[in-house]
Parts: sequence; structure tokens; C-alpha cells
Amino acid sequence: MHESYDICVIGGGVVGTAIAREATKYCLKVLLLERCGDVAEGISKANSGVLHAGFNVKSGSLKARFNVEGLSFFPELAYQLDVPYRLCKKLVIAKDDSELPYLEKLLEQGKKNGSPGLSIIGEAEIRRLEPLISGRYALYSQRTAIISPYELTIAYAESAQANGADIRLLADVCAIERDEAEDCFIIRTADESIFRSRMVVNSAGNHSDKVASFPAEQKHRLHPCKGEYYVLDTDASRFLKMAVYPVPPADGSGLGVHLTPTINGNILIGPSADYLDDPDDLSTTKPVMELLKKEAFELLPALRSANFIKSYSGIRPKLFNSETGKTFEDFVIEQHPAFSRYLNLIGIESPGLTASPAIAKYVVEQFVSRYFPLIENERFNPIRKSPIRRTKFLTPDAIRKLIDENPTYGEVICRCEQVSKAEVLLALRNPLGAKTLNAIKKRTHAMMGRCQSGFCLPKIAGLLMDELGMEPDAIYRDEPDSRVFLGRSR
Amino acid sequence: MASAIALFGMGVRDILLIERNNSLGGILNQCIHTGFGLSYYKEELTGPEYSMRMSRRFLDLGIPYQTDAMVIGMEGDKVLTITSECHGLQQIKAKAVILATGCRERTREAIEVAGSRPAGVFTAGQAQNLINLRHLRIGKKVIIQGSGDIGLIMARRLQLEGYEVIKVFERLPFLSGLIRNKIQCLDDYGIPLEFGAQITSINGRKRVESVDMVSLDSEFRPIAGSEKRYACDTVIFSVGLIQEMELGRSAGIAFSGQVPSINSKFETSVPGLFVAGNALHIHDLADGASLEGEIVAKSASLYLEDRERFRSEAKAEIPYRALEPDQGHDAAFFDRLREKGQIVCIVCPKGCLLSPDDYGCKRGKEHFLQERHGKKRILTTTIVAEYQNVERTLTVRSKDPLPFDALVPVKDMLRKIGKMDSLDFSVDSGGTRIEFAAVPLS
Repeated sequence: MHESYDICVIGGGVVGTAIAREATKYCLKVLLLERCGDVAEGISKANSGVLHAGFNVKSGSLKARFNVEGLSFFPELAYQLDVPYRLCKKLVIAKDDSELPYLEKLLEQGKKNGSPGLSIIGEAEIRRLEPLISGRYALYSQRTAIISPYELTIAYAESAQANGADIRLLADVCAIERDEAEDCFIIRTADESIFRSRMVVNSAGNHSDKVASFPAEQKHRLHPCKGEYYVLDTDASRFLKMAVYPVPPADGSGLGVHLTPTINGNILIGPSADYLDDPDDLSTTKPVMELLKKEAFELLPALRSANFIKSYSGIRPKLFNSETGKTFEDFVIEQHPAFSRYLNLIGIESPGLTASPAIAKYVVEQFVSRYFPLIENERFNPIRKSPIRRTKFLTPDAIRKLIDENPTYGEVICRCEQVSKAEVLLALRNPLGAKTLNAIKKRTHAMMGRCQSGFCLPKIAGLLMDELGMEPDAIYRDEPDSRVFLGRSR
Repeated sequence: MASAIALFGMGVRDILLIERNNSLGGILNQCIHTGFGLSYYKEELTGPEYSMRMSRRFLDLGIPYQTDAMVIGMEGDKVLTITSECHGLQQIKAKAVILATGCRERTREAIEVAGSRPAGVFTAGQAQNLINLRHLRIGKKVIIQGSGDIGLIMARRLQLEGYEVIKVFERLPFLSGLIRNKIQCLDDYGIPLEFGAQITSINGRKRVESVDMVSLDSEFRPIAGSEKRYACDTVIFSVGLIQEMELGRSAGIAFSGQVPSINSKFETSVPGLFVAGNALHIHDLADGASLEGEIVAKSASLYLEDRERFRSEAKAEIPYRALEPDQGHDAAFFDRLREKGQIVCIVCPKGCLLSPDDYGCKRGKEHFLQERHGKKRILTTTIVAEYQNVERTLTVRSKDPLPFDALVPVKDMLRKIGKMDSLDFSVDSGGTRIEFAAVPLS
């Protein structure tokens, strides 16, 4: 007796969770399978967190369509899902007159795509908006915003779950076959669980080409493209309010480093772009780290070395066609050539975060609707409340009120990010059941500050063992093999 | 605590000490090794013993304090916002504030280590806390970067706890910590130290699998062809400390470079806001931080008592000397020691070279003669045992040095103690009674 579903979404990234949530708006039995110990562990964890205005993507593409449509869902969607969102705006800087045509091209493309709030501004206006940034001209995008990509993913997942979807973590899909007699797919995971579903939606990010080939071979191949970043201490956030991108150097020299503020108050520097063979190679490299630092110092001379608190990388799922040898530019959202009820989403790179609500709507309305009647789920609740209040962003009066209700909001566990015991405990009791260190990080930002967990890891390990009764060797980062402790010494 | 005690001694009564950890004493409580107190208490103590001695004096005076309480903000006019589980949110206006917030450890980013970010990467102090206070096993095979005192102390601690410490790398061409710590933490256990070398990359997806290292030339540039890979499951970084000055920053104090600007009275650019200890500059010994705390207390007391005199006495910014290691302790120095079979004194931080012609001092002579006879070392460790009907973590030290080979078996024997009646106790090891002193930590 195996559990049986209408739709099985593979991949707990921002797109997979958005689709799962969208599907729960209708009377459908929805399952989401995620390989790691929490959602948002792949591309959705390691990107710039920008809600793009849509001027940077080729007109007429799915990317342009879903970017602009996706953006229109915000900020309302962020409010509904209780995810912090900030309209930070963005400047694309032209150093001199020779770079102006590039801005004009972007402006024209943006207008064609229907992206809102664009204009070209001059030196004085740039200085007024970002006093520490210099440039001759800038494309000023008033609708570019930032959001926490992993908090959005978590919110989609929690909303989907509250509306009836089953979410399985640590479910690493290893085989899928078609059962014609039962008119369904049989999905097997590495821990030997078996699920049945009438439809499969493959949203497996950097592994979506592999998952696409599970039931039968298909042509799309991903070419992983690594982007390395530096994270600056929140202390550096006073230097910059907006996202600031340069015109990419025409001669290909340098990275043209992007500066992007984050919702948590950090600044991200990067990403670089290097093609690799391995979709899980998240290593950082010395030459890129040095280049990122050098270009960041050039843009913001006030930075200090101590401001660079962490380097990391993310992988973009770039598409590669083995028949033509060319890299595609666009998202692929199409049925498997052999199985119409097997929908593949491949190459959902930037602007996938912005596009996520539009892609979800498209998938359900255009594909799911072909096989299931879309009967409205009358009990669907669009509102999701985050169980955690971040004291760092609250006024003293608000904190006082919180502590009155729950005194553990008063004890600070992570000093650098000002995260209280209540926040850590609530993160650990999250509705998805994620109990990893990364799950705490993404929900609270504990361990992500300037000391990089030096002070708070012992305290958090203590909470995991004392309050949740976890054994030390059950404490891991994201997947069970990433154990931090091997046991007790007594 | 040293500042508060000194202030009390000068007649200041309206004092509040705020501590973010659950007990007084700060980082000393996890520093279970000896080496503290020689100048302040004229006696060699472990970190917890030093901290207990000071907190007893502090508690005896009845100075008000809060633990598990953190100042989450400070405005320029010294209004502190404090939160704690016990007292909720408090806002307090102080006439004077002394920041004695210590320092934090630099991470792998300080030396730009590339590679992956698997589990198994720690800073030395973090590892020290996890091992000594939480009794956790953090790995098996360890590489350490940095020959600062914490790195050296952790090498010994790990080795005693049954880890394999493969090697210690130091970027500088000379030892960063005290020479006594190289002798008693590395040489005693045969742990190799390589100067002018650093980890360049950490490898491994989930858990550390190996590190890549490279030798550096005198300009800290990597030497081509010197790259090597070491298999390990744990990496520990001891690559320096940074002042914790976020509160000063939130109060808007001026900095010179990375450190707070102060005048001769240890006052920052915000009137009545003082800094002491490692929060100001990194001291190599806790004793120095305590003494500085007392000096700063004097300034604060004068500030409260007689503002005019305070202002007339306060001179412009005093530059203090950044802590510089002794550059003479390089590879050639240690080679010479080895060739000559010379003994370095580990009795005090001075690290005298001993010879029958020059013992340095009376204790140096004792050490010299003993070392010829067979190494003896103080044993320090932590245990979990019932004391006064509560199960607690206690740090334990032998009152006298033990034969070197007895350290591990005696440590294992101590682990089996289930219940303690007295903090001074002894155990029987092969017919000899060994005396111990314990400090309860929880």
C-alpha cells in the first residue's frame, strides 16, 4: 500500500514550493519531495535575492514574460506570506559616455518587456541617491526589490503544507517509472520509500536534467555555472542602500562586480560566472575571491577587510543542448517527450526567484488543468504567518511586549545577529520538521554573522540536545552526512 | 569584574555588571589549562580557577549583576537597552559605561581560505567550548592553522582527548604564541609545526575530507610547487582575535583603524564611555586585562567624582602597542634547541633557555632537573559528576605535575568519577595518591 497523489513536485526550491502552494488552491492531492533536510538548500539558498524589474532579459522569452508577471505579484505576495521584502531599487552604472548605449539598450528592452519604473539619470542624481557611488549615467530601476529567497521558499512550503500538501524532506528521488495499468508514476527515493502520483512536476533545479531523464531519456542537459559571492558584515550596510551593478566590461576583463543589499542588512558582492561539470561543486576559488575583493574595494573604498565575513558560491542551472552544442537562453517548461503527465522545468536560473509565482500559476493553469479539473479549494488560506519574530528588527517596545508573552525572547543566543533563544527554538519547531543547522540559519540568521557561529554554535548545539533531546551525532548541517559532531566524549 | 571590584573599592556603589553568558568569568571558564594568574594572583591557576577567585571577591562585595543578559543597543548618551529572560527588556541610563566585551576569533575568511564549506571547520575557541564545556567529539583527524596560544593549547587538548593532530601550520616564519606552549603542547606530543605555510583550500562536500596547503615566501606569496594535500576530517583555525566593539559602534564612538580611539584615560570619543581589556586591544595574558580593568575603573571613578579634574588630566589619544610575537622563535631557533638538546623553561611565560650554568631562577632549576629525570606535567580536564546533589561540569587539575605517561590513563580514570563530596579530592593511581582541585562550572 503506497501513498498516492495527484501531483508530485520534485524539488523544494523556490519554484517547486511555489508550484506546490499554487496547486493547493485547487482540490488536488499534492506531494513535494526534497532531497535535503530542509527546503531552499540549492539555488534558492545561494542567489542575490533580487526581485528583478525585467529589463535584463531578452524580449519575447519566457524569462521576460514570467519575470514581469512574477514581479507584479510583489509586494502583496510577500505580505500574504509574511516574508520580509524591501523596495531597495537599483542603479546600473555607466562610468563614461561610451557605456551609455548599453544603458539605452537595457531601457529599450525593459520597455519592450513591460518592466515598470525605468529611467536614465545623470551624475548629480546618482550622487543624490547613493553618495558613495560614482558614475556618469545610470539606469535607475525604481521597481527592483529584495527579498530573502530562502524565507520566501520556506513560506511557500509552509503555506502549501497548511493548505494540505504533503512535504517530505530527505526524500532523494532516485528512480521514476510509469505504471500504465494504474495510470500513474512510481517514484522511488534513496531511503526506499515509494510514492505514486498521477502527474510529476520536475523542479529539481541543478538536477532537473537528471530527474527529467528518470522515466526515459530526453535531450536537455544542464551546464552548471558557478557564481561566487562575498558577504559583507551588516556593519557595512550604511555604505549602500540600493543594488548597484556596473555595465559589464566590454573587453571581458573583470567581473563587473554587483553590490546587492540583503534583507538582513548585509551586502552581497558577486556573483562570478564559471562553467563546471559538477552541479554540486560549491567550492570557492582563490582567484575569484581576490577579484571580488579588489573590485569591491574599488567601488567602495571605505570597506575594511574585516567587513568580508564569508565567501560562498551558488550554481546556476544553465541549459546546454547536446544536439546543437549551444547554450539556450530561455527557461524550458515542457512535457516530457515520452510522457505528457511528466512536466519538466529545466534551466530555471535568474530571474527564477522573481518569476516563481508566475511560473507556478502557468504550470497549474496550463498543464495541470489538462489532466485534472481545477476545482477551487474553498479552504485555501493565502495567509501564512511566520512563527518567528526577529527581535533584531523590532523596536524596544515591541521586544518588551514579545518578552512579556514569551520570556525566552529575552535571552540572546547569537550576539552578532541578535537572535534570541525563542527565535532558535521556534525555528527548530518549524512546521516542515527541518531540524538541521541550516534550517536554523535560514529562519533566524543565527550563525551567519561576523563571528560565523564561533560563539553561538555551542549554545545552539546545547539547545538541540537539551530542548529537543537530539543526540550529538544527529546534528548536521543540511544532509545527514554533514555531521558536525561525532558523539560525546564522556 | 576587575573594573567593578576596583570601582567598589573606590567608593562607587551604584554599579551594574551585565554579562551575556550564563556565568561570570567570560572565556576564562572554557580555558581549563593552567597559565593564568602568575602576575595578578602570584600563583599559576587554570582559567576557571582565576575566574572563580575573582567572582568570589566580586560576589562577596555584593555588587549587583545580571547574567544571561545582553546589551542590545546603546545610544550616545549612554542609555543601554538590555534584554534577558529573567528581567525582560530594561532601559538604563548610566553616567559612565565600561565596555569589557572582549574579542572574537577571526575565521577562515581572515586568511582567504578557498574551497568548500563542509561540516568540521571550527575556530579554536569554539572547539574549546564544544569539547571542554559541552563534552562533544568534533572529529578524529585534525589540522590546525595558526600557532597562537589558543591553537597550541587546543592541539594538546585534542591529543589528550584521543584525536590525532596531524600538523599545525603557521603563516608567519616564527611562532605566534608563547614558547612554553609550543614545548608543552606540541613538542611533548610530537605534533609537527610548519612555519610559513597556510591552508589554501578545504575539500569535502558534507564533512571535511582534506585540506590543501602551500608554503609562503617572505612576502606571504605562495611558493609554486610547494602545494600539498593532507587528509583530515577536522580543521581548526586560530588565526587571531578581533575586538568586539559593536556596542561602541552603536554608540557612535570614533575609531582609529580597527580599534576604538581613546584618550589617556581610556575614554572613547563618547564622554564617559570607557573601554578595557581585549575589547580595546588583545592582551596575551588575562592578568594584563584584569590590571587594565582596574586602571580604567580609576578613570571612570574620577570621571564620576570630579569631571573637571578628569578633563584636565585626560590627554589626547594614547597609542598603545599592538601585541607582537617574539620574532626570534623561528624554525632555525627550534632547530638549534633540538640539536643542542636544550631545555626551555615552561614554568612561567618568560620561556628561559635553561642550562646547568644558568637556571634562570629557583623554579627553573627544579624544572630543569625534573625534565632530565622524566617529564612531569599538570593534568587539566573537565568531567561531569554529581556534586552537592546536582550533575555538573567541573574542571579538574592535578595539584602537582604527573608523570607524562600517566596523563591519559589518569584523565580516563577521572571520567569515571560519578559523585564528588569535596572539590579537593584524590584518586589512587597504581598505589600513588594524586591530589586534585575541581571548579564547578554549572
